[in-house]
Amino acid sequence: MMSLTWYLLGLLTVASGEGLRQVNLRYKLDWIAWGGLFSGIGALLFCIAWAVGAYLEGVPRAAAMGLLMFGLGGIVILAVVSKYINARLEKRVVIAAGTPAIGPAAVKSTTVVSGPLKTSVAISPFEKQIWSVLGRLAYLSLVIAFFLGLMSDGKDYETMLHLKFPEAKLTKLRDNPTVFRIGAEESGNYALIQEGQGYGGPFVIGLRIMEDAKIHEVVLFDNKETPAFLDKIEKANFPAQFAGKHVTDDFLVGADVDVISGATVSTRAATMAVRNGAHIAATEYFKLKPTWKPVPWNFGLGEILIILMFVLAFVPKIHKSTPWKHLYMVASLVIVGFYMNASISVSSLSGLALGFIPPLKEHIVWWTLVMGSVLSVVLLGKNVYCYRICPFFWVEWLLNKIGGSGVKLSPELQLRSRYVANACLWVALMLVFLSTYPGLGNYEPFAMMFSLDGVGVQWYLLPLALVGSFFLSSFWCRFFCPVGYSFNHLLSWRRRILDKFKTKEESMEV
Amino acid sequence: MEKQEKQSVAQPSPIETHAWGQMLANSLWVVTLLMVLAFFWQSFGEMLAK
Repeated sequence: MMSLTWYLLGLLTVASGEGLRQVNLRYKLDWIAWGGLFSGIGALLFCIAWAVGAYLEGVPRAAAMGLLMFGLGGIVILAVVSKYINARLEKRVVIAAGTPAIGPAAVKSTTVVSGPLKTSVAISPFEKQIWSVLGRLAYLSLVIAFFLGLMSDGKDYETMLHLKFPEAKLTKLRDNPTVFRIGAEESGNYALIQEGQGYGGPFVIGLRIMEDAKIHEVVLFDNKETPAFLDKIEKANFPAQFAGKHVTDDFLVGADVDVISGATVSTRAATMAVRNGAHIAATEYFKLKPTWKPVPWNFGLGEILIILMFVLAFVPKIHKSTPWKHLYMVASLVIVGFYMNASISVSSLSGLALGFIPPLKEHIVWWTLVMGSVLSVVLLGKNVYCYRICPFFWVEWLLNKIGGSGVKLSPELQLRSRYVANACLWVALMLVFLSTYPGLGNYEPFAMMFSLDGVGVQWYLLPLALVGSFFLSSFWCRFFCPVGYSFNHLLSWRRRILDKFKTKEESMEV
Repeated sequence: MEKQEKQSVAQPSPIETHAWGQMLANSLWVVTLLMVLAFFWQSFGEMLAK
């Protein structure tokens, strides 16, 4: 495979050389343009070699980083050089014509040069009807998938527990939470199955508590967390830190439980499950008095800043006047993006639809951004998240400012891209509803951008989204983002419902 | 004016008005869509494995 890559790279290098010769014949390049084109093409070729090599070695993260560093770097160089060549071209036109080639005349002339590009097409009524029928079928299938998923959800944790402790005699003592006695009646050994709520859904944990009222083993039975976060928890051997803890301990993240960096939400969910289980065992089976501290409000600088960002998103003046808009952009990138990594994703929205709501006390950021944005769409008819709070939009905006090219999709694709994006959203939701696992539909590159967390193919989406937005403004937001399209659907339902109410009221008045 | 138009007609145009600019945009869109589909394929495999 690698030799094939080298062969193709050789072909590409020859083709690039010939391309450069043609460009030189056409534009009469100077040494700056030559240097720029040479390094830009060099970076792109190197990027291909790097990405393929890393992929073949099984490190997609390194491949994606290579694509980003060298691919995007090469494209930036080529874009700057193309601007430089264009500027020189205009200069030549001015010198040759004796008048400045700016204003409508110049625009007109360049349009003449390029030849007529198709700018408008329309979808036939038949095709429109097909899309409309498909849309209705999509809604219907989502409702069916939602109920099918709910009905089939529910794993046999009891069997899992039996498999975990095959030698022990287990006697079921209660349900919800499920508690078993291990061994004889007076043994004082218990096994509990408990849930804690994460962003993705319940985190199910098995606890083995022995007669000394201490936790002896914690097993992760099931979870619906994003794989990248779960990976961190497993690598850090998170459950091991609970062994030896007394059932009356506080079990508070950041106090007597270590937080796993980059997986705070999952850490809180797992700790919540252990805490609930241990405290139930303490009061009900060991008859101990509750001496533990209550869970405090998780309200720090990050939460304050997120609430402030959310409130400011409603102030139109900030998003219209230049210095404020730019300040808001920096705040969105630094606070929502890199500091809190709290972007809304399709998994947050689908998790909400499945009823996976984390407790307010520990998850103020989730409540502010996810619940706040959804409520502002439903109640006020305003989408304040997209094009304002979302840090990925600002990354795209910045890249497009640097790229500044006005390339557009062909009109045929532009017209159909909305349907394709909705189809992607449908597939993501079907996967989530059928599996009741929100992480499976999470195809956005946000987590990869701001915390370098991703799995497999996800790594290739980030460089593509970034390179795309370099050429096309808001590439990801306009053509793929499931969050934006979900909010659009909510807005359209809201409008339809309000319209129906209005028509009813009007007919009553008549 | 005529002279200016004649001069500019002889010059090549910037990327956005070129057909290959549109081709680049289309290709980026298609490749990104393929990657999204590949992600779904990966998720589908995970769903079956669970």
